[in-house]
Amino acid sequence: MKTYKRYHPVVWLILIIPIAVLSFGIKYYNSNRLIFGINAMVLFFILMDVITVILTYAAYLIEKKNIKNLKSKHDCK
Amino acid sequence: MIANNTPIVIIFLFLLLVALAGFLSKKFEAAKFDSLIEWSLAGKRFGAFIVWFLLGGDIYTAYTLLAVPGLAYNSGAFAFFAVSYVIMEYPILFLTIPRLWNVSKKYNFITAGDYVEKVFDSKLLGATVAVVGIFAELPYIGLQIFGMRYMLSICGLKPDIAIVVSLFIVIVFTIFSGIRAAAVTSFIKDFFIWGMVLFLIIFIPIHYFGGFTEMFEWINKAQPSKSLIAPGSMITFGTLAFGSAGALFLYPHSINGAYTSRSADAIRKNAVFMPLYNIMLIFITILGFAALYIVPGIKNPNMAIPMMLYKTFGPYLTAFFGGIIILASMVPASIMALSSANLFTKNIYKNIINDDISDHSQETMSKVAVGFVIVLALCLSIIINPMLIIKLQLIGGMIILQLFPLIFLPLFTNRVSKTPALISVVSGLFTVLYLMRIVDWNIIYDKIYIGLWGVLAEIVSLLIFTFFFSPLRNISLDDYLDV
Repeated sequence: MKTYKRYHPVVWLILIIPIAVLSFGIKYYNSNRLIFGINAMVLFFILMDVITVILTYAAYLIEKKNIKNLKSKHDCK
Repeated sequence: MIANNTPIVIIFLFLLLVALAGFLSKKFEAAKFDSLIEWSLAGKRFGAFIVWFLLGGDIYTAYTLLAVPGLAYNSGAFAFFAVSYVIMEYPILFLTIPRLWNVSKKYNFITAGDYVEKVFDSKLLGATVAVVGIFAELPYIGLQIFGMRYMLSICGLKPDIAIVVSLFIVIVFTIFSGIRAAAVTSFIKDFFIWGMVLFLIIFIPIHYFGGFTEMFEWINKAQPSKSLIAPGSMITFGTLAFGSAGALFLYPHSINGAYTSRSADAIRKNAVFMPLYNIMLIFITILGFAALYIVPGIKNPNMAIPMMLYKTFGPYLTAFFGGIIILASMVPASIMALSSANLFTKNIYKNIINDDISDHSQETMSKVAVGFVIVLALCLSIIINPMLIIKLQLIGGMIILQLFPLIFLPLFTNRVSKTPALISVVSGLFTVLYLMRIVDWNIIYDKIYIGLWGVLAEIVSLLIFTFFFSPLRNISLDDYLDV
């Protein structure tokens, strides 16, 4: 049973995605075009909020499973 | 601006509501016994739902409500850096603070300074965290006072009297009810703030432009340079957002808010759902662009929203919105003062001056310190001009970021030890202050956010010195886990 004392590598990866996109993707989202009548940058930030919720929730589920494994390993000792 | 007494009555009704909520909150999740941990962290018994409001109260302050649209008014799309950094900060919250909570629960830590003292076995480093934390918090509270001042001045009230009354209420309810006062008032604050922002973001574009599309079309046509981030500012935008995100959960008030959780899981749930709160910040930023059309040519951009409200709704509704914004300054002022007071008591007074102080005396000293911190922030806001307070707050943000090797790094590795950590923090602080002096005390970036140069200096120092010293042994990696 593999458990992690830090975080599962996938947790690191999916949590770095919003940080990387927001920090390094500026030239791609720096747009004042209107999409569905809304400024593209505004729409992007609303989407990033929602995507961050989804990604962090995925990280939460992975971490919960990891904690469960750790606990059962801990109880076996 | 207005002569009759109705706005005064509206503002004071708000203050009365907050005062009542603050005092009654003592019974909320009532304390089992009197102690510093009960008073300042509610015995670490708050669930995810309450912590969501408390962190919202911490992060989305009155100054945010005025300064971010003010920045949009003045500098255009660059203001979205605030939206960007707040989104980034929640993954950082997920990765760091639950581990810090676990270890703080195990060893009964109340402040981040307690943790640093234990993990590095160094009272000096604990005190460093306290001094840097208090230095960063004071101008932050000062900015909340400016938020109040801007709103009160547009309502035609004498700001000084109303500010003193508001801060007196904050001092008394914080001393009386501790963190519970901030928690309960943040429920009320959020109810009104969300109501206000949702109303404004629907009403303003429809009333003035005929709809959202028309508003964005007007911005593109009339203010083309403000509708985009200038190509030369993109690096600044990215590094400023990233550095600010790294700094936010190093502030004592953010850590204090998270420490009130009943479990690390409650903090993780907050990291998942807090980005939804951030949608409000996007709406507020958009209102700054709308203000360009409604109230053009304002010299102080922080007055853009108050002036827009006054022009659109007249004195009474503006006073009502003013009451909400004052409320939004009282909640963070309470948490900031409380967390600074704890740092002083636990990591400066107890560690350096009197190690034998009893638990009861620590609680009393923290309560006295709350009053002292708020009065000090009020004096700063009276003596120092707004621009200098803003500058001090920005310097505070860069300096607090330099605590990262002391607070965040040991959460993941025991390879950092006392001497390298001290050298690293000193080199980070020195780099930041030296670069600011070279560049200009007025600005916090020279293409790249200066705080990040400090972090780079810290990483280099750690890489050079860490392996000459033995690893940390005081706290094992197992202590950071949920088991």
